[in-house]
Amino acid sequence: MARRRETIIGLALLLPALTAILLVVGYPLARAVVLSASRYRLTEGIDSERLCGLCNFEALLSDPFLGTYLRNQTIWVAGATFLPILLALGIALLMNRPLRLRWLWRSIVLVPWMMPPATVAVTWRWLYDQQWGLLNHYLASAGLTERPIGFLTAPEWVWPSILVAATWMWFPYNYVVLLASLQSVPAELYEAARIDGASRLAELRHITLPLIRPVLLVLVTLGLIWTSNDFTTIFLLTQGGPGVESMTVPPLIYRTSFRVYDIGRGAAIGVILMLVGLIFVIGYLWLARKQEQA
Amino acid sequence: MRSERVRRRRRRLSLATVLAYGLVALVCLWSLGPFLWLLTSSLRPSGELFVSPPRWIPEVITLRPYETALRTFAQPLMNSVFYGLTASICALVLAVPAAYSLVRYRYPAKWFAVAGLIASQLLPFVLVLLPLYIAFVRFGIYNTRLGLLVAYTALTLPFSILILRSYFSTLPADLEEQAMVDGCTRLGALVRVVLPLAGPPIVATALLSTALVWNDVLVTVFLSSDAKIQTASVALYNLFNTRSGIGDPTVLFAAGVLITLPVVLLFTLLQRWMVQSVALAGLK
Repeated sequence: MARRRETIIGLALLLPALTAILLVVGYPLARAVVLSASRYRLTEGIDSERLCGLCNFEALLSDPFLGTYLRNQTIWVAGATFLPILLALGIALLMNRPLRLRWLWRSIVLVPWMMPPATVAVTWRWLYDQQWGLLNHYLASAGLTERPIGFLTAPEWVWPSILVAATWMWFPYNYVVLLASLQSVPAELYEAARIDGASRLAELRHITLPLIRPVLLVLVTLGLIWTSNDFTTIFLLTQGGPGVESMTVPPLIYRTSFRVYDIGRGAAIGVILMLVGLIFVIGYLWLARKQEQA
Repeated sequence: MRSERVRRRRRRLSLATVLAYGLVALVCLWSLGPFLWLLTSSLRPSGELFVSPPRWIPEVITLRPYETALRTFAQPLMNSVFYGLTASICALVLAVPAAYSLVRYRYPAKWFAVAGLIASQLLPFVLVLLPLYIAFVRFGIYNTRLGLLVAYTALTLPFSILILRSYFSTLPADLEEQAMVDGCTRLGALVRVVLPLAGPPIVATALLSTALVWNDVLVTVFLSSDAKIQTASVALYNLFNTRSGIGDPTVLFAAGVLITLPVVLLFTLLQRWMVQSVALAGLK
Protein backbone atom coordinates (compact mmCIF):
# COMPACT_ATOMS: atom_id res chain seq x y z
CA MET A 1 0.00 0.00 0.00
CA ALA A 2 2.75 2.41 1.01
CA ARG A 3 4.64 1.21 -2.04
CA ARG A 4 1.73 2.10 -4.30
CA ARG A 5 1.42 5.54 -2.75
CA GLU A 6 5.11 6.13 -3.42
CA THR A 7 4.62 5.25 -7.09
CA ILE A 8 1.71 7.63 -7.37
CA ILE A 9 3.58 10.50 -5.73
CA GLY A 10 6.61 9.82 -7.93
CA LEU A 11 4.52 9.92 -11.09
CA ALA A 12 2.69 13.00 -9.87
CA LEU A 13 6.00 14.83 -9.46
CA LEU A 14 7.07 13.81 -12.96
CA LEU A 15 3.76 14.48 -14.65
CA PRO A 16 3.79 18.29 -15.05
CA ALA A 17 7.21 18.28 -16.74
CA LEU A 18 6.31 15.25 -18.82
CA THR A 19 3.07 16.84 -20.00
CA ALA A 20 4.87 20.06 -20.91
CA ILE A 21 7.53 18.20 -22.90
CA LEU A 22 5.01 15.97 -24.66
CA LEU A 23 2.94 19.02 -25.55
CA VAL A 24 5.70 21.28 -26.82
CA VAL A 25 8.23 18.75 -28.15
CA GLY A 26 6.57 15.33 -28.53
CA TYR A 27 3.38 16.44 -30.21
CA PRO A 28 5.12 18.76 -32.70
CA LEU A 29 7.45 15.93 -33.74
CA ALA A 30 4.51 13.65 -34.46
CA ARG A 31 2.73 16.49 -36.18
CA ALA A 32 5.82 17.13 -38.32
CA VAL A 33 5.59 13.59 -39.69
CA VAL A 34 2.00 14.28 -40.75
CA LEU A 35 3.06 17.61 -42.27
CA SER A 36 5.75 15.89 -44.29
CA ALA A 37 3.01 13.80 -45.93
CA SER A 38 0.85 16.84 -46.68
CA ARG A 39 0.65 19.44 -49.37
CA TYR A 40 0.77 22.62 -47.31
CA ARG A 41 1.80 25.96 -48.75
CA LEU A 42 1.48 29.10 -46.72
CA THR A 43 0.77 31.01 -49.93
CA GLU A 44 -2.50 29.03 -50.18
CA GLY A 45 -3.54 29.93 -46.64
CA ILE A 46 -3.05 28.58 -43.15
CA ASP A 47 -5.91 26.05 -43.68
CA SER A 48 -4.74 24.70 -47.02
CA GLU A 49 -3.17 21.57 -45.54
CA ARG A 50 -4.19 18.24 -47.02
CA LEU A 51 -2.62 14.78 -47.04
CA CYS A 52 -0.78 13.81 -50.22
CA GLY A 53 1.23 10.74 -49.28
CA LEU A 54 4.80 10.91 -50.50
CA CYS A 55 4.39 13.96 -52.75
CA ASN A 56 6.97 16.03 -50.88
CA PHE A 57 9.54 13.26 -50.91
CA GLU A 58 8.99 12.70 -54.62
CA ALA A 59 9.43 16.40 -55.30
CA LEU A 60 12.65 16.34 -53.31
CA LEU A 61 14.06 13.54 -55.44
CA SER A 62 13.64 15.63 -58.55
CA ASP A 63 15.17 18.76 -56.99
CA PRO A 64 18.12 19.71 -59.23
CA PHE A 65 20.08 20.88 -56.16
CA LEU A 66 19.58 17.66 -54.18
CA GLY A 67 23.16 16.58 -54.89
CA THR A 68 24.51 19.96 -53.77
CA TYR A 69 22.58 19.81 -50.49
CA LEU A 70 23.80 16.30 -49.75
CA ARG A 71 27.38 17.26 -50.57
CA ASN A 72 27.13 20.35 -48.35
CA GLN A 73 25.63 18.44 -45.44
CA THR A 74 28.40 15.84 -45.72
CA ILE A 75 31.20 18.44 -45.84
CA TRP A 76 29.66 20.30 -42.94
CA VAL A 77 28.96 17.33 -40.66
CA ALA A 78 32.31 15.66 -41.28
CA GLY A 79 34.36 18.87 -41.16
CA ALA A 80 32.66 20.54 -38.22
CA THR A 81 32.81 17.29 -36.21
CA PHE A 82 36.34 16.09 -36.83
CA LEU A 83 38.33 19.32 -37.24
CA PRO A 84 37.42 20.74 -33.79
CA ILE A 85 38.07 17.35 -32.15
CA LEU A 86 41.48 16.92 -33.80
CA LEU A 87 42.54 20.43 -32.88
CA ALA A 88 41.17 20.00 -29.36
CA LEU A 89 43.11 16.77 -28.93
CA GLY A 90 46.35 18.47 -29.95
CA ILE A 91 45.76 21.40 -27.63
CA ALA A 92 44.68 19.18 -24.74
CA LEU A 93 47.88 17.14 -25.09
CA LEU A 94 49.86 20.39 -25.08
CA MET A 95 48.05 21.80 -22.06
CA ASN A 96 48.46 18.55 -20.19
CA ARG A 97 52.23 19.09 -20.12
CA PRO A 98 53.86 20.88 -17.21
CA LEU A 99 53.97 24.53 -18.29
CA ARG A 100 54.53 27.78 -16.47
CA LEU A 101 51.31 29.81 -15.97
CA ARG A 102 49.38 26.82 -17.24
CA TRP A 103 46.12 28.02 -15.63
CA LEU A 104 46.36 31.20 -17.74
CA TRP A 105 46.82 29.37 -21.06
CA ARG A 106 44.08 26.97 -20.11
CA SER A 107 41.62 29.83 -19.55
CA ILE A 108 42.60 31.70 -22.71
CA VAL A 109 41.74 28.64 -24.77
CA LEU A 110 38.17 28.84 -23.43
CA VAL A 111 37.51 32.32 -24.86
CA PRO A 112 35.80 31.21 -28.10
CA TRP A 113 33.46 28.99 -26.07
CA MET A 114 32.15 31.97 -24.14
CA MET A 115 31.14 33.96 -27.19
CA PRO A 116 27.50 33.77 -28.31
CA PRO A 117 27.17 32.43 -31.89
CA ALA A 118 25.91 35.82 -33.07
CA THR A 119 29.10 37.49 -31.83
CA VAL A 120 31.22 34.73 -33.37
CA ALA A 121 29.53 35.38 -36.69
CA VAL A 122 30.09 39.13 -36.48
CA THR A 123 33.74 38.56 -35.56
CA TRP A 124 34.53 36.17 -38.40
CA ARG A 125 32.55 38.06 -41.00
CA TRP A 126 34.62 41.10 -40.08
CA LEU A 127 37.89 39.13 -40.21
CA TYR A 128 36.86 37.67 -43.59
CA ASP A 129 35.67 41.00 -45.01
CA GLN A 130 36.72 41.28 -48.63
CA GLN A 131 37.65 44.94 -48.53
CA TRP A 132 38.79 45.72 -45.00
CA GLY A 133 39.21 42.30 -43.41
CA LEU A 134 42.31 41.59 -41.38
CA LEU A 135 42.89 38.28 -43.11
CA ASN A 136 42.96 39.72 -46.61
CA HIS A 137 45.32 42.42 -45.41
CA TYR A 138 47.82 39.95 -43.98
CA LEU A 139 47.61 37.65 -47.00
CA ALA A 140 48.24 40.57 -49.34
CA SER A 141 51.12 42.00 -47.34
CA ALA A 142 52.73 38.57 -47.20
CA GLY A 143 52.52 38.59 -50.98
CA LEU A 144 50.34 35.48 -51.03
CA THR A 145 47.36 36.98 -52.85
CA GLU A 146 47.10 39.51 -55.64
CA ARG A 147 43.44 40.26 -55.24
CA PRO A 148 41.42 40.18 -52.00
CA ILE A 149 39.57 36.92 -51.45
CA GLY A 150 35.81 36.85 -50.88
CA PHE A 151 36.08 34.24 -48.15
CA LEU A 152 32.35 33.90 -47.62
CA THR A 153 31.22 34.90 -51.12
CA ALA A 154 33.49 32.90 -53.46
CA PRO A 155 32.23 29.34 -54.05
CA GLU A 156 35.72 27.82 -53.78
CA TRP A 157 36.43 29.59 -50.48
CA VAL A 158 33.15 29.44 -48.63
CA TRP A 159 33.51 25.93 -47.17
CA PRO A 160 37.09 26.24 -45.89
CA SER A 161 36.15 29.62 -44.35
CA ILE A 162 33.01 28.28 -42.64
CA LEU A 163 34.90 25.27 -41.30
CA VAL A 164 37.71 27.40 -39.88
CA ALA A 165 35.17 29.56 -38.03
CA ALA A 166 33.26 26.49 -36.82
CA THR A 167 36.48 24.87 -35.63
CA TRP A 168 37.34 28.02 -33.72
CA MET A 169 33.93 28.07 -32.12
CA TRP A 170 33.70 24.41 -31.10
CA PHE A 171 37.21 23.21 -30.28
CA PRO A 172 37.13 24.55 -26.66
CA TYR A 173 34.23 22.32 -25.70
CA ASN A 174 35.99 19.23 -27.01
CA TYR A 175 39.20 20.45 -25.43
CA VAL A 176 37.64 20.71 -21.95
CA VAL A 177 36.29 17.16 -22.16
CA LEU A 178 39.52 15.74 -23.58
CA LEU A 179 41.73 17.51 -21.05
CA ALA A 180 39.63 16.14 -18.18
CA SER A 181 39.94 12.70 -19.71
CA LEU A 182 43.73 13.04 -20.17
CA GLN A 183 44.09 14.08 -16.55
CA SER A 184 42.37 10.89 -15.46
CA VAL A 185 45.02 8.69 -17.11
CA PRO A 186 47.08 7.33 -14.19
CA ALA A 187 50.62 8.79 -14.16
CA GLU A 188 52.07 5.38 -13.19
CA LEU A 189 51.30 4.08 -16.66
CA TYR A 190 53.55 6.70 -18.23
CA GLU A 191 56.28 6.09 -15.66
CA ALA A 192 56.19 2.38 -16.37
CA ALA A 193 56.34 3.04 -20.11
CA ARG A 194 59.29 5.38 -19.68
CA ILE A 195 61.19 2.77 -17.68
CA ASP A 196 60.58 0.37 -20.56
CA GLY A 197 62.06 3.01 -22.86
CA ALA A 198 58.91 3.91 -24.77
CA SER A 199 59.03 7.01 -26.98
CA ARG A 200 56.51 9.80 -26.61
CA LEU A 201 54.80 8.71 -29.78
CA ALA A 202 54.54 5.15 -28.52
CA GLU A 203 53.07 6.46 -25.26
CA LEU A 204 50.46 8.37 -27.21
CA ARG A 205 49.57 5.41 -29.38
CA HIS A 206 49.61 2.66 -26.79
CA ILE A 207 48.55 4.38 -23.59
CA THR A 208 46.82 7.72 -24.12
CA LEU A 209 44.71 7.05 -27.19
CA PRO A 210 43.34 3.65 -26.09
CA LEU A 211 42.42 5.10 -22.68
CA ILE A 212 40.60 8.14 -24.01
CA ARG A 213 39.01 6.21 -26.87
CA PRO A 214 35.57 5.96 -25.21
CA VAL A 215 35.53 9.72 -24.63
CA LEU A 216 36.62 10.39 -28.21
CA LEU A 217 33.84 8.16 -29.44
CA VAL A 218 31.27 10.08 -27.41
CA LEU A 219 32.59 13.39 -28.72
CA VAL A 220 32.52 12.19 -32.33
CA THR A 221 28.99 10.89 -32.04
CA LEU A 222 27.69 13.99 -30.29
CA GLY A 223 29.53 16.11 -32.86
CA LEU A 224 27.89 14.24 -35.73
CA ILE A 225 24.45 14.66 -34.17
CA TRP A 226 24.86 18.32 -33.16
CA THR A 227 26.40 19.49 -36.42
CA SER A 228 23.82 17.72 -38.54
CA ASN A 229 21.09 19.54 -36.55
CA ASP A 230 22.89 22.87 -36.38
CA PHE A 231 21.02 25.73 -37.99
CA THR A 232 22.65 28.76 -36.46
CA THR A 233 26.24 28.72 -37.70
CA ILE A 234 25.52 28.56 -41.43
CA PHE A 235 22.50 30.84 -41.10
CA LEU A 236 24.57 33.52 -39.39
CA LEU A 237 27.69 33.21 -41.56
CA THR A 238 26.34 32.81 -45.10
CA GLN A 239 22.61 31.97 -45.02
CA GLY A 240 23.62 29.10 -47.28
CA GLY A 241 25.16 31.31 -49.94
CA PRO A 242 26.62 32.18 -52.31
CA GLY A 243 23.61 30.73 -54.15
CA VAL A 244 23.16 27.38 -52.41
CA GLU A 245 26.88 26.71 -52.26
CA SER A 246 26.90 26.36 -48.45
CA MET A 247 23.25 25.41 -47.89
CA THR A 248 23.00 22.57 -45.37
CA VAL A 249 19.82 20.82 -44.33
CA PRO A 250 18.60 22.85 -41.30
CA PRO A 251 18.84 26.27 -43.01
CA LEU A 252 17.28 24.63 -46.08
CA ILE A 253 14.29 23.65 -43.94
CA TYR A 254 13.96 27.26 -42.85
CA ARG A 255 14.22 28.60 -46.38
CA THR A 256 11.82 26.05 -47.84
CA SER A 257 9.24 26.71 -45.13
CA PHE A 258 9.47 30.47 -44.66
CA ARG A 259 10.97 31.84 -47.89
CA VAL A 260 9.42 29.45 -50.39
CA TYR A 261 6.41 29.01 -48.03
CA ASP A 262 6.26 25.24 -48.59
CA ILE A 263 5.83 23.89 -45.06
CA GLY A 264 5.05 20.33 -46.20
CA ARG A 265 8.29 20.09 -48.07
CA GLY A 266 10.24 21.71 -45.24
CA ALA A 267 8.83 19.10 -42.86
CA ALA A 268 9.72 16.31 -45.30
CA ILE A 269 13.35 17.44 -45.33
CA GLY A 270 13.26 17.63 -41.53
CA VAL A 271 11.86 14.12 -41.20
CA ILE A 272 14.69 12.76 -43.34
CA LEU A 273 17.16 14.64 -41.15
CA MET A 274 15.60 13.15 -38.03
CA LEU A 275 15.68 9.60 -39.42
CA VAL A 276 19.34 9.88 -40.40
CA GLY A 277 20.03 11.33 -36.95
CA LEU A 278 18.30 8.34 -35.35
CA ILE A 279 20.73 6.05 -37.16
CA PHE A 280 23.61 7.98 -35.56
CA VAL A 281 22.02 7.75 -32.11
CA ILE A 282 21.31 4.03 -32.38
CA GLY A 283 24.75 3.35 -33.84
CA TYR A 284 26.28 5.17 -30.92
CA LEU A 285 24.26 3.27 -28.31
CA TRP A 286 25.24 0.00 -29.96
CA LEU A 287 28.93 0.93 -29.93
CA ALA A 288 28.73 2.05 -26.31
CA ARG A 289 27.16 -1.24 -25.28
CA LYS A 290 29.71 -3.25 -27.19
CA GLN A 291 32.48 -1.31 -25.48
CA GLU A 292 30.96 -1.97 -22.08
CA GLN A 293 30.80 -5.70 -22.74
CA ALA A 294 34.38 -5.93 -24.01
CA MET B 1 80.64 9.94 -21.06
CA ARG B 2 77.81 9.88 -18.63
CA SER B 3 77.76 13.65 -18.08
CA GLU B 4 77.77 14.03 -21.87
CA ARG B 5 74.54 12.03 -22.06
CA VAL B 6 72.92 14.02 -19.29
CA ARG B 7 73.83 17.25 -20.97
CA ARG B 8 72.50 16.08 -24.28
CA ARG B 9 69.31 15.03 -22.65
CA ARG B 10 68.91 18.37 -20.96
CA ARG B 11 69.44 20.17 -24.24
CA ARG B 12 66.86 18.01 -25.95
CA LEU B 13 64.45 18.73 -23.14
CA SER B 14 64.91 22.44 -23.45
CA LEU B 15 64.32 22.26 -27.18
CA ALA B 16 61.07 20.44 -26.47
CA THR B 17 60.20 23.12 -23.94
CA VAL B 18 60.85 25.92 -26.40
CA LEU B 19 58.72 24.14 -28.96
CA ALA B 20 55.94 23.67 -26.39
CA TYR B 21 55.89 27.36 -25.46
CA GLY B 22 55.97 28.31 -29.12
CA LEU B 23 52.90 26.16 -29.67
CA VAL B 24 51.23 27.65 -26.59
CA ALA B 25 51.79 31.12 -28.05
CA LEU B 26 50.22 30.04 -31.34
CA VAL B 27 47.26 28.47 -29.56
CA CYS B 28 46.69 31.66 -27.54
CA LEU B 29 46.90 33.80 -30.67
CA TRP B 30 44.34 31.58 -32.39
CA SER B 31 41.98 31.49 -29.40
CA LEU B 32 42.19 35.11 -28.35
CA GLY B 33 43.15 36.93 -31.56
CA PRO B 34 39.72 37.12 -33.21
CA PHE B 35 38.09 38.37 -30.00
CA LEU B 36 40.82 40.95 -29.42
CA TRP B 37 40.34 42.21 -32.98
CA LEU B 38 36.61 42.57 -32.33
CA LEU B 39 37.32 44.35 -29.06
CA THR B 40 39.79 46.82 -30.50
CA SER B 41 37.52 47.38 -33.54
CA SER B 42 34.72 48.35 -31.15
CA LEU B 43 36.76 50.96 -29.26
CA ARG B 44 37.36 53.46 -32.08
CA PRO B 45 35.57 55.96 -34.28
CA SER B 46 34.34 54.21 -37.42
CA GLY B 47 36.74 56.15 -39.63
CA GLU B 48 39.60 54.23 -38.09
CA LEU B 49 38.18 50.89 -39.19
CA PHE B 50 38.72 51.71 -42.82
CA VAL B 51 42.42 52.45 -42.92
CA SER B 52 45.22 50.58 -44.59
CA PRO B 53 47.20 49.07 -42.97
CA PRO B 54 44.69 48.11 -40.23
CA ARG B 55 45.64 49.28 -36.74
CA TRP B 56 45.51 46.95 -33.76
CA ILE B 57 45.70 49.97 -31.48
CA PRO B 58 43.52 52.84 -32.69
CA GLU B 59 44.83 56.40 -32.57
CA VAL B 60 41.68 57.58 -30.86
CA ILE B 61 40.14 55.28 -28.26
CA THR B 62 36.48 55.98 -27.58
CA LEU B 63 33.53 54.39 -25.81
CA ARG B 64 31.03 56.14 -28.06
CA PRO B 65 30.16 52.89 -29.98
CA TYR B 66 29.16 51.35 -26.65
CA GLU B 67 26.89 54.29 -25.80
CA THR B 68 25.15 53.97 -29.15
CA ALA B 69 24.98 50.17 -28.86
CA LEU B 70 23.44 50.35 -25.38
CA ARG B 71 20.82 52.77 -26.67
CA THR B 72 20.06 50.76 -29.83
CA PHE B 73 20.12 47.41 -28.05
CA ALA B 74 18.41 48.39 -24.80
CA GLN B 75 15.15 46.69 -25.78
CA PRO B 76 16.67 43.49 -27.27
CA LEU B 77 19.01 43.14 -24.27
CA MET B 78 16.07 43.48 -21.89
CA ASN B 79 14.19 40.90 -23.96
CA SER B 80 17.08 38.46 -23.71
CA VAL B 81 17.29 38.88 -19.95
CA PHE B 82 13.53 38.49 -19.65
CA TYR B 83 13.30 35.30 -21.77
CA GLY B 84 16.42 33.84 -20.19
CA LEU B 85 15.39 34.33 -16.57
CA THR B 86 11.67 33.66 -16.96
CA ALA B 87 12.13 30.56 -19.10
CA SER B 88 14.75 29.10 -16.78
CA ILE B 89 12.54 29.72 -13.73
CA CYS B 90 9.51 28.16 -15.44
CA ALA B 91 11.71 25.23 -16.43
CA LEU B 92 13.02 24.88 -12.86
CA VAL B 93 9.55 24.78 -11.32
CA LEU B 94 8.78 21.79 -13.51
CA ALA B 95 12.27 20.28 -13.53
CA VAL B 96 13.07 20.07 -9.80
CA PRO B 97 10.17 17.72 -8.90
CA ALA B 98 10.63 15.75 -12.13
CA ALA B 99 14.36 15.23 -11.60
CA TYR B 100 13.84 14.27 -7.96
CA SER B 101 11.15 11.83 -8.96
CA LEU B 102 13.41 10.22 -11.58
CA VAL B 103 16.14 9.69 -8.98
CA ARG B 104 14.25 8.63 -5.85
CA TYR B 105 10.95 7.05 -6.84
CA ARG B 106 10.37 3.70 -8.44
CA TYR B 107 7.78 3.18 -11.10
CA PRO B 108 7.43 1.31 -14.38
CA ALA B 109 8.73 2.73 -17.66
CA LYS B 110 11.03 5.20 -15.94
CA TRP B 111 13.73 4.20 -18.39
CA PHE B 112 11.55 5.46 -21.25
CA ALA B 113 11.17 8.85 -19.63
CA VAL B 114 14.93 9.22 -19.28
CA ALA B 115 15.61 7.94 -22.82
CA GLY B 116 12.97 10.34 -24.12
CA LEU B 117 14.63 13.25 -22.35
CA ILE B 118 18.02 12.39 -23.82
CA ALA B 119 16.51 11.84 -27.27
CA SER B 120 14.80 15.23 -27.11
CA GLN B 121 18.27 16.77 -26.79
CA LEU B 122 19.53 14.96 -29.86
CA LEU B 123 16.64 15.41 -32.28
CA PRO B 124 16.61 18.39 -34.64
CA PHE B 125 14.83 21.23 -32.84
CA VAL B 126 14.23 22.79 -36.27
CA LEU B 127 11.68 20.06 -36.89
CA VAL B 128 9.90 20.81 -33.60
CA LEU B 129 9.64 24.48 -34.52
CA LEU B 130 7.74 23.98 -37.79
CA PRO B 131 4.53 22.56 -36.25
CA LEU B 132 5.01 24.88 -33.30
CA TYR B 133 4.96 27.79 -35.73
CA ILE B 134 1.64 26.63 -37.20
CA ALA B 135 0.13 26.01 -33.76
CA PHE B 136 1.31 29.41 -32.54
CA VAL B 137 -0.21 31.15 -35.57
CA ARG B 138 -3.50 29.34 -34.92
CA PHE B 139 -3.52 30.18 -31.20
CA GLY B 140 -2.52 33.76 -31.91
CA ILE B 141 0.75 33.59 -29.97
CA TYR B 142 3.08 33.67 -32.98
CA ASN B 143 5.30 36.75 -32.71
CA THR B 144 4.40 37.38 -29.06
CA ARG B 145 6.53 37.34 -25.92
CA LEU B 146 4.32 34.59 -24.50
CA GLY B 147 4.97 32.39 -27.52
CA LEU B 148 8.73 32.83 -27.34
CA LEU B 149 8.62 32.17 -23.61
CA VAL B 150 6.75 28.89 -24.13
CA ALA B 151 9.25 27.79 -26.78
CA TYR B 152 12.25 28.75 -24.65
CA THR B 153 10.86 26.86 -21.67
CA ALA B 154 10.48 23.83 -23.92
CA LEU B 155 14.06 24.26 -25.06
CA THR B 156 15.51 24.42 -21.54
CA LEU B 157 13.26 22.00 -19.67
CA PRO B 158 14.76 18.63 -20.72
CA PHE B 159 18.24 20.07 -20.27
CA SER B 160 17.39 21.28 -16.75
CA ILE B 161 15.88 17.93 -15.76
CA LEU B 162 18.94 16.03 -16.96
CA ILE B 163 21.40 18.27 -15.10
CA LEU B 164 19.40 18.22 -11.87
CA ARG B 165 18.91 14.49 -12.14
CA SER B 166 22.66 13.94 -12.36
CA TYR B 167 23.08 16.18 -9.31
CA PHE B 168 20.35 14.57 -7.20
CA SER B 169 21.79 11.13 -7.90
CA THR B 170 25.02 12.19 -6.18
CA LEU B 171 23.17 13.03 -2.94
CA PRO B 172 23.25 10.21 -0.40
CA ALA B 173 19.78 8.79 0.21
CA ASP B 174 20.60 8.57 3.96
CA LEU B 175 19.91 12.26 4.36
CA GLU B 176 16.26 11.93 3.49
CA GLU B 177 15.91 8.59 5.22
CA GLN B 178 17.15 10.24 8.40
CA ALA B 179 14.56 12.98 8.00
CA MET B 180 11.89 10.39 7.33
CA VAL B 181 12.82 8.50 10.47
CA ASP B 182 12.35 11.81 12.26
CA GLY B 183 8.78 11.90 10.97
CA CYS B 184 9.06 13.73 7.65
CA THR B 185 7.30 12.41 4.57
CA ARG B 186 9.45 11.95 1.51
CA LEU B 187 8.06 15.16 0.04
CA GLY B 188 8.78 16.93 3.31
CA ALA B 189 12.34 15.62 3.11
CA LEU B 190 12.64 16.99 -0.41
CA VAL B 191 11.52 20.43 0.69
CA ARG B 192 13.36 20.61 4.05
CA VAL B 193 16.53 18.62 3.40
CA VAL B 194 17.30 18.27 -0.30
CA LEU B 195 16.30 21.70 -1.61
CA PRO B 196 18.37 23.72 0.89
CA LEU B 197 21.38 21.55 -0.01
CA ALA B 198 20.70 21.80 -3.71
CA GLY B 199 20.57 25.60 -3.76
CA PRO B 200 23.85 26.16 -5.63
CA PRO B 201 23.26 23.48 -8.27
CA ILE B 202 19.73 24.74 -8.85
CA VAL B 203 20.98 28.28 -9.34
CA ALA B 204 23.74 26.95 -11.63
CA THR B 205 21.17 25.05 -13.68
CA ALA B 206 19.04 28.17 -14.00
CA LEU B 207 22.03 30.19 -15.13
CA LEU B 208 23.08 27.58 -17.68
CA SER B 209 19.54 27.59 -19.07
CA THR B 210 19.66 31.38 -19.19
CA ALA B 211 22.87 31.16 -21.21
CA LEU B 212 21.20 28.67 -23.56
CA VAL B 213 18.41 31.17 -24.22
CA TRP B 214 20.82 34.10 -24.37
CA ASN B 215 22.84 32.43 -27.14
CA ASP B 216 19.86 31.13 -29.07
CA VAL B 217 19.03 32.41 -32.53
CA LEU B 218 16.92 29.58 -33.91
CA VAL B 219 13.76 29.91 -31.80
CA THR B 220 13.40 33.67 -32.21
CA VAL B 221 14.03 33.48 -35.96
CA PHE B 222 11.34 30.82 -36.40
CA LEU B 223 8.68 32.15 -34.05
CA SER B 224 8.81 35.93 -34.35
CA SER B 225 9.23 38.69 -36.88
CA ASP B 226 8.83 41.84 -34.79
CA ALA B 227 12.16 43.41 -33.84
CA LYS B 228 10.61 44.78 -30.61
CA ILE B 229 10.26 41.36 -29.01
CA GLN B 230 13.42 39.71 -30.41
CA THR B 231 16.52 38.74 -28.49
CA ALA B 232 19.84 40.61 -28.56
CA SER B 233 21.52 37.84 -30.57
CA VAL B 234 18.94 38.11 -33.33
CA ALA B 235 18.92 41.92 -33.20
CA LEU B 236 22.68 41.85 -33.69
CA TYR B 237 22.34 39.52 -36.65
CA ASN B 238 19.60 41.62 -38.24
CA LEU B 239 21.61 44.78 -37.87
CA PHE B 240 24.69 43.12 -39.29
CA ASN B 241 22.82 41.97 -42.38
CA THR B 242 21.71 45.52 -43.10
CA ARG B 243 25.12 46.90 -42.28
CA SER B 244 25.10 49.42 -45.10
CA GLY B 245 21.91 50.79 -43.60
CA ILE B 246 23.28 51.89 -40.23
CA GLY B 247 26.62 53.15 -41.43
CA ASP B 248 28.62 52.50 -38.29
CA PRO B 249 29.91 48.94 -37.83
CA THR B 250 31.74 49.89 -34.63
CA VAL B 251 28.31 49.85 -32.97
CA LEU B 252 27.82 46.26 -34.10
CA PHE B 253 31.20 45.26 -32.73
CA ALA B 254 30.41 46.99 -29.44
CA ALA B 255 27.08 45.17 -29.30
CA GLY B 256 28.89 41.91 -30.03
CA VAL B 257 31.20 42.52 -27.07
CA LEU B 258 28.28 43.60 -24.88
CA ILE B 259 26.32 40.39 -25.38
CA THR B 260 29.48 38.40 -24.68
CA LEU B 261 30.20 40.01 -21.30
CA PRO B 262 27.36 38.39 -19.31
CA VAL B 263 28.38 34.97 -20.64
CA VAL B 264 31.99 35.56 -19.57
CA LEU B 265 30.76 36.53 -16.12
CA LEU B 266 28.64 33.41 -16.00
CA PHE B 267 31.54 31.20 -16.99
CA THR B 268 33.71 32.68 -14.29
CA LEU B 269 31.01 32.09 -11.68
CA LEU B 270 30.20 28.61 -12.86
CA GLN B 271 33.54 27.17 -13.83
CA ARG B 272 32.99 24.18 -11.58
CA TRP B 273 29.52 23.56 -12.91
CA MET B 274 30.49 23.93 -16.54
CA VAL B 275 32.46 20.75 -16.19
CA GLN B 276 29.38 19.00 -14.81
CA SER B 277 27.24 20.17 -17.67
CA VAL B 278 29.96 18.90 -19.95
CA ALA B 279 29.83 15.57 -18.19
CA LEU B 280 26.11 15.59 -18.86
CA ALA B 281 26.88 15.79 -22.53
CA GLY B 282 28.44 12.38 -22.06
CA LEU B 283 24.83 11.39 -21.42
CA LYS B 284 25.44 9.37 -18.32
